[in-house]
Amino acid sequence: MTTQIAPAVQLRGLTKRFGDHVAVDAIDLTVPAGMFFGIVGPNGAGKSTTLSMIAGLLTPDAGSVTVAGADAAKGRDRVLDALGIMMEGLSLPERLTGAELLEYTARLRRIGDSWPERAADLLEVLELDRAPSTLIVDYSTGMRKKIGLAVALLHRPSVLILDEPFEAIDPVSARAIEGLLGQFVAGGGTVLLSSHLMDVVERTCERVALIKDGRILTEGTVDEVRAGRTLNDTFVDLVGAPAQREIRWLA
Amino acid sequence: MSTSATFASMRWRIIRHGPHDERGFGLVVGLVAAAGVIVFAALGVSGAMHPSWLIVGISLFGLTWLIGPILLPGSAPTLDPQWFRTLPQQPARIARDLSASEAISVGTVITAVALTSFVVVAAAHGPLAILVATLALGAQLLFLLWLGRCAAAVVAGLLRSTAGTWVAAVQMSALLAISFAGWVPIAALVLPDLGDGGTDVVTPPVAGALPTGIEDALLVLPTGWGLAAVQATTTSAPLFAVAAPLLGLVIGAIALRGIWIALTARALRQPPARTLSNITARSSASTRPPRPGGPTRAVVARELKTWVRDPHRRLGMIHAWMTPLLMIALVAPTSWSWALPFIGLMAAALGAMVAVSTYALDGTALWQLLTTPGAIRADVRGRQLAWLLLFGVPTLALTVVLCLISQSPLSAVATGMTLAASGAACALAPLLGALMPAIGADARERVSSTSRTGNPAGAQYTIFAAVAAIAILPPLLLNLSGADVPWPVHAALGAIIGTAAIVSLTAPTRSRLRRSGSALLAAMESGDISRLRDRTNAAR
Repeated sequence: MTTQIAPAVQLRGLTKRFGDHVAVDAIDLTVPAGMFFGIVGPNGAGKSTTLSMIAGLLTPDAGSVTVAGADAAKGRDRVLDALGIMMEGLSLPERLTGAELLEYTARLRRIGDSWPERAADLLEVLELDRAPSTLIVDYSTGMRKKIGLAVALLHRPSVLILDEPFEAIDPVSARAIEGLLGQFVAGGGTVLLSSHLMDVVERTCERVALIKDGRILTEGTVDEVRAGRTLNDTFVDLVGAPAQREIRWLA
Repeated sequence: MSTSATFASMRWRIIRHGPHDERGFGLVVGLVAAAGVIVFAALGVSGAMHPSWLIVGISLFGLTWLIGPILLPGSAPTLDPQWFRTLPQQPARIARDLSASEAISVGTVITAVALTSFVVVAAAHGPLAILVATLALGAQLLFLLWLGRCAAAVVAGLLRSTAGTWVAAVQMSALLAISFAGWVPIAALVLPDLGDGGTDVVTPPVAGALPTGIEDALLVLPTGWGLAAVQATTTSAPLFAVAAPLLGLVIGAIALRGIWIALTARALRQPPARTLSNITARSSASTRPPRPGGPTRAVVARELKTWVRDPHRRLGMIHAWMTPLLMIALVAPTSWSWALPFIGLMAAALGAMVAVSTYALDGTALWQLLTTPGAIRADVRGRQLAWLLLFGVPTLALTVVLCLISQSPLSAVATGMTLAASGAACALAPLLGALMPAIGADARERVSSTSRTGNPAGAQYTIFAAVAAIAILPPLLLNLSGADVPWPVHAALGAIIGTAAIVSLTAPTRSRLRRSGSALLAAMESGDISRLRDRTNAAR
């Protein structure tokens, strides 16, 4: 007899419109538990909108979001407990230091006595303990991504939702984040991330979905999707690159 | 197209493309005020009102140009000179080219309308008087425009340094103190015995007229020179009396424009904006044992740190603390020292005004509250407790001290009103912060006092009016009851009303954040307040 494990994230007919524009068009997607899953697509494809709906920051016009077996429409708090969220381009409590932010987050989430150890580990692994007096507002892009990830991980969620976690950061910071995410997935956690960086997705993700115009063009294991080529080539073929035209004055 | 014309065209397109909420509100309110000045002029001409009051209206408009940039230092310029710092031109040349576009603003339109009151005054005196009035309108408008621009440039320059920030804070607090209590010394002259129940009014020599000394003083100030020229024309004064104020305005406008160009060029020569906040935390949470406490205490700790470290919140806090002290200096030497305990009431209102835009100042950090179970509940309560600690307790302490010092017969009334006002301010600041956010640069982009913020004037006027309305309830109810009550009843009733305000307004604040939090987040992320109204457009 086998036990059925609920998918980490399940989207059914998920739709979001902004006026006449359909940003997400009836997406069906299942992210198995314990999976490193990537969503890729061009700018404006609907990646961030999809992740925002999963995170509860946007209300879908139609469809459903289920996280770890809990329907987001009916059990919002249960879903939020299961999620760790890092969204691109949003502020944090900017006038706190990294350590203060983790303390604030831990108490806000009523994590209990284990938070100091968790916070110290995260700050050390992500090398944020080197700037103990620096406010978040003064953090570099890489430090900002790292403290965002620490905030998302602190309560040990079962699913991480990460919007562009590798965007505009240096290779060393990217390596630190990759390492931490690898440990998280190895421990049974699920990562659902969006990215433009095909080599990172190719290197880290087990499955990938390619979105364009709010629809999933293809979804499968990374090997299935790239079909013997690089993921970048597959991406450009599916999305379609504009025809190259020679500009004489640049020559 | 010349560079000046390009800048002017760009400025016009930015204004045309919006967002229009703030400008539209300012235009409507400003035009209503301008219409009031024209009515003053018309009533003065018809004899229904003494004509001396027109100079008061004109002077208030002039004062607005001066104090507007001082009171709202984070207001974004429509066309920021910093955008053009990489143009291959000298900074002074860029500033000079920009200067032509500065006249394209809502304030210019409103003031031009108000100054048509000159033409109303001159209309009955023939074409020459109308010509002089038109020239005076143009010259006065130019002068006020460059006065306002220079004030904004000086404040921006001051806020670049810590010492300058304090100078600017004192300036702003002094202006606020004069705005709120500047009338008290004058009222004390007119009604010197009011504190003892005496209602004998010391009247001016001419019925219904502004005291002559005040009128003369306002006409001598540059803000009155345009009207002085018009009045000289209508009274057939010598040519010098007409030409001197007009020439003075033109020369003053040219000089102020030159100063603005120099200040703008200087700012363009300096490094862009400070890229770091220059604030370091004294201790880090990891170096000391964890403190006990749940979500609400976590929010209180975050708020207290943010009030001290956020440049705009800190500036507001300095105003809220310093302005009541300066008001004491204005009121104490007069025969109205019995009014001193009411300064505590003003302190509560000021604390409310500076705390009314904290959600907008914290910006998109709201996402964490929206995605953490139970966080909104803790956040609202934590903001209220932090307000009480930073503003409520000092306000009540100040009121008690002023009651003891002044021995005012109205101490009990003032105490009751201050307690009610403090409760109202504590409850209303987060509620209006969620309802009327003054959206500007996101928290992560604001590193100094010069960083752009939204204009909280609308929310500030609203909370001031609401706090005043609730503060009046204790004496009003006791007066309606007709009972002659001992002094503790005033304080008890004020405390009950203040507590009731907190209890009754907390749930609507939480409810508002839960229902519209996503839309508020989208509005702050995009910088477009209209997204707050259109919840279906709450997009990333």
